[in-house]
Amino acid sequence: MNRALVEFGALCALAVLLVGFVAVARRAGGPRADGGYRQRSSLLDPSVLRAGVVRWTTTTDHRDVGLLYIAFGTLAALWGGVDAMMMRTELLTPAADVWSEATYNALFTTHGITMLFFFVTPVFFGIGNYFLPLLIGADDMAFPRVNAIGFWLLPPALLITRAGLPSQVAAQVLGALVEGPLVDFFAALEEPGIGWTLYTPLSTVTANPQIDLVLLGLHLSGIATTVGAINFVVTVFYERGPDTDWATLDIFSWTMLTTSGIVLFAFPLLGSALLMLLADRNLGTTFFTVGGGDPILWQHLFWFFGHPEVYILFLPATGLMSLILPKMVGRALFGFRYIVYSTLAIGVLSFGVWAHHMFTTSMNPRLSASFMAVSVAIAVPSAIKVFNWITTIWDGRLRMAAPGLLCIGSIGTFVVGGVTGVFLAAVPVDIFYHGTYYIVGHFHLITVGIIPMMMIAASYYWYPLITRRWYDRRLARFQVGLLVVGSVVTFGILLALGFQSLPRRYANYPAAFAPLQQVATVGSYVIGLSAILWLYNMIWSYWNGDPIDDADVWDLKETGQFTAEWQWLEGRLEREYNVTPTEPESVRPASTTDPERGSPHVLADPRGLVRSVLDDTLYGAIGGLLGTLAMSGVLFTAAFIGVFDVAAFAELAGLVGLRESALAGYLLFIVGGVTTWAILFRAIAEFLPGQVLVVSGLSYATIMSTGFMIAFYTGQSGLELVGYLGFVLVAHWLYGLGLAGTIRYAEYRRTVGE
Amino acid sequence: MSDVRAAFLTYGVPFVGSVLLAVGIAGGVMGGYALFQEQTDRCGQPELSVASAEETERVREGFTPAGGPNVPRLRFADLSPAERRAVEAGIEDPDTEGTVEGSFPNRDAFRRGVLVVAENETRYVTLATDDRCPQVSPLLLPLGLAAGLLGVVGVLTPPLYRRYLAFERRQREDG
Ligand code: HEM
Ligand SMILES: [Cu+2]
Repeated sequence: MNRALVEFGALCALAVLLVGFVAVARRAGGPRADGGYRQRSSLLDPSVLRAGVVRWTTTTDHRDVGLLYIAFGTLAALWGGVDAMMMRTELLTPAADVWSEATYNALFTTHGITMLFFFVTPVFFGIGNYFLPLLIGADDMAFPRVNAIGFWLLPPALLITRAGLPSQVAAQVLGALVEGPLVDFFAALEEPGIGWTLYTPLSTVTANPQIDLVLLGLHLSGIATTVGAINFVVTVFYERGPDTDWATLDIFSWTMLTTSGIVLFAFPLLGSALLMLLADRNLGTTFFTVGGGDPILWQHLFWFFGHPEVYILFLPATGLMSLILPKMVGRALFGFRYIVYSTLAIGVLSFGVWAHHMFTTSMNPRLSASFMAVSVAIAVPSAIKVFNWITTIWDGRLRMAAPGLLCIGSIGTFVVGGVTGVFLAAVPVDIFYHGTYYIVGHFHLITVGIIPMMMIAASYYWYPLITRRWYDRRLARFQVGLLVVGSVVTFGILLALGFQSLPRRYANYPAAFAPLQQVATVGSYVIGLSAILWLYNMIWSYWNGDPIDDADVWDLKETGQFTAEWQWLEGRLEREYNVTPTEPESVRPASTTDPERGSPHVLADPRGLVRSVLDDTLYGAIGGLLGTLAMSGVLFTAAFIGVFDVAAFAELAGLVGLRESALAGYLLFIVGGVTTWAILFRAIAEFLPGQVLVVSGLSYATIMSTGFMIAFYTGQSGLELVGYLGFVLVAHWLYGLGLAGTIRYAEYRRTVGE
Repeated sequence: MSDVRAAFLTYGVPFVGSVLLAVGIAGGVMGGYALFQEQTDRCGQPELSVASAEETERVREGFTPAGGPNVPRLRFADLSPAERRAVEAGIEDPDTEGTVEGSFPNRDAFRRGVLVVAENETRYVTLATDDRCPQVSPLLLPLGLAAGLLGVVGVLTPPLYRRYLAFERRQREDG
């Protein structure tokens, strides 16, 4: 299928949805019954629009730049996420028939590059920009303008790197209208299928000019990252407030500092290697060619950057964990000092292990043994972190809020991801699993199992600080559940596929793996849904969340953890109260939206149900009729699809001695639904005090459906059987709903009528 | 509302709903795609990758003293018209790929890789992608849609249930 158009369409749909949703959320957040009234001018007003554009493109305030980084990273994540979903869709079938092999190759390339370079680092830099100055008591970053420039290099870098998609779309659209060199020009740029590692010689001999643009785009993003890192280092060194010295520097700032240090040593190396590759492709140099150079050299250079890069991605996530987890359990971080040491140790060691990526490529066995030793050694500092986290939780009172749940889930996935990594560091194991799905499972348990999870935890934890509103807390817990379950299922299965030695990066695979692959794909869709729920929550709550009424939203004062950034918020709220006391003391909304508090406890008076036998029977019959009709609708849909056989009705008729016709059977079925089962329900429901009638109806129908399933079974198997069971169940639920709903409604009319 | 039921309705049912929705998307995508695929004949159009003459020379010489692998040859004239067009397109195309639109008698040869000899130039040609048509059960689309719908209902259960409870409470207050 035409990948460019499909992906472009998906992105456009996503954009339209997002914009429309923002508009709706803004409007819904108008005057509120609780007094949280906000006057807002129309976005479409040109002067407002211009002011907004000027403000956001010229700002140098660290908090604004931070938000820009976060927004950019989120958009990149959505784009890379669309790639991931498309990849998993391809893997629904063993053959490469949804997209082609070439498209699959392009997808895993762009997915990897987008996620690693344009999602993770920007988002962490955004969080760092927003919070690091607040945490260390600085007024702003050390070089605010450089900071803004560092950010503004990223959008062009992303666009250059991913120009293949827009230019393919342009070529196809133009090509449908005209022909000529312009179309050829656009058609020549195609998203390359060479993997994010850009291995030579493939990346030197492939003639796609988009590869050159990718190299330039990555180079530009490297410059942006380096510029940002310099700013962090200088800020931590020279901009600390009077109360912050090295001993009291918080854990997140420590990790950002270490990360920035790694960036300063790693990214220049990537830049150099990229330039050499560019020269090989365009200027006839032979750094990485077979004659004159060495393709393996590229791998060494790349991984000398690449392995530290892994820790650039991962350290800020551990920083967030170490910061948020204590707040969620009401205990100080256990072994703070050792966590700092372990962070620094990782920073240094990360440069000494690159060759474990090349155990299978070419290496003197004695050398590989030493790389193995260092690689196993680097697991030690990570393990120290995990032990300290677990000890912090131990005996603490875990708050079942979304950030807390994320911390727990994330420690779980990270442990599995980390342990599988230690095995990989062992040469014999690596030789066996290298290039299989085991690798993909391992690193996604980390890249998804701690990095986005901690980002999301931070987004929830600091949401009140940024927006002065609460996110929807129940939805957040649910979203976290989906994310954790989805990740465990998806990437756990990838590990399992790896145990069976299924090689990665193939669009085709043997049919025997299809069931596992399909479950993994469904798991990834669950992750995708949870990402959308998160986005929904963030946007909706920005205008419609419950306003906070003081700065201590997490009850941190109670445990003495009311840290600098919250104190800043408190001061700000105070100042703003003095200036514009628009926010009332208490802005809790009516409790009706919150069932945990004063929620409607429903127990209808059971005597009401027994008013009149006659009435009851009548309403029961009407309800039964409605229910049976609804049920018929579902059953006939099922018959139309081909999972339910109407002949079963004929058998029913035969069973009670009627003519064996489907119509007779169907009429009998309706009569039964209106009388026997309805009356039975009426009788039973009265003995279930305290149950909401609709729930009783559903339970009743569920139980009844098992009998139906057996009685009406006509030899379906496989998918047909699944469909049959599903449809029968749903049909019965509708019956139960119709029955109980009608009775309840009639009851209501009757009481009102009196 | 009892705690268990509250948790069940707030998290359990929407969770199952989300899973169903995800299953429904998977089934619907595959089923719908299979349907769509049959109508537009876009599938079954394999692509050939044509190496440049220099690259081919390098492959043939090989990287070892023993020389490159022994690759069978095909004469350009022996190819089917569609194959010829694809090879020519691959030579022109900056991405070195050409689509075979038509009969493809030498598929197996191309799958293994062949040297195509045309106008004194030899080029190494392989099958780059074999865009086959998916084979899925026709039940997949309706079942996927149904699962998706059911999933949506599941996801929407908590607010619906809350509305229903409000209805019952109103009833009690009115009565
Ligand atoms: C929604 C969650 C995600 C899903 C379903 C997903 C899925 C996939 C799949 C199917 C592959 C190709 C595996 C192969 O055939 O080798 C892949 C590769 C990759 N993913 Fe993800 N991914 C997700 C999130 C992420 C995130 C958050 C990151 C990084 C922070 C990431 C980084 C990568 C990288 C680096 C590769 C390797 C690309 C390559 O093979 O060159 N993924 N992912
Ligand atoms: Cu590594």
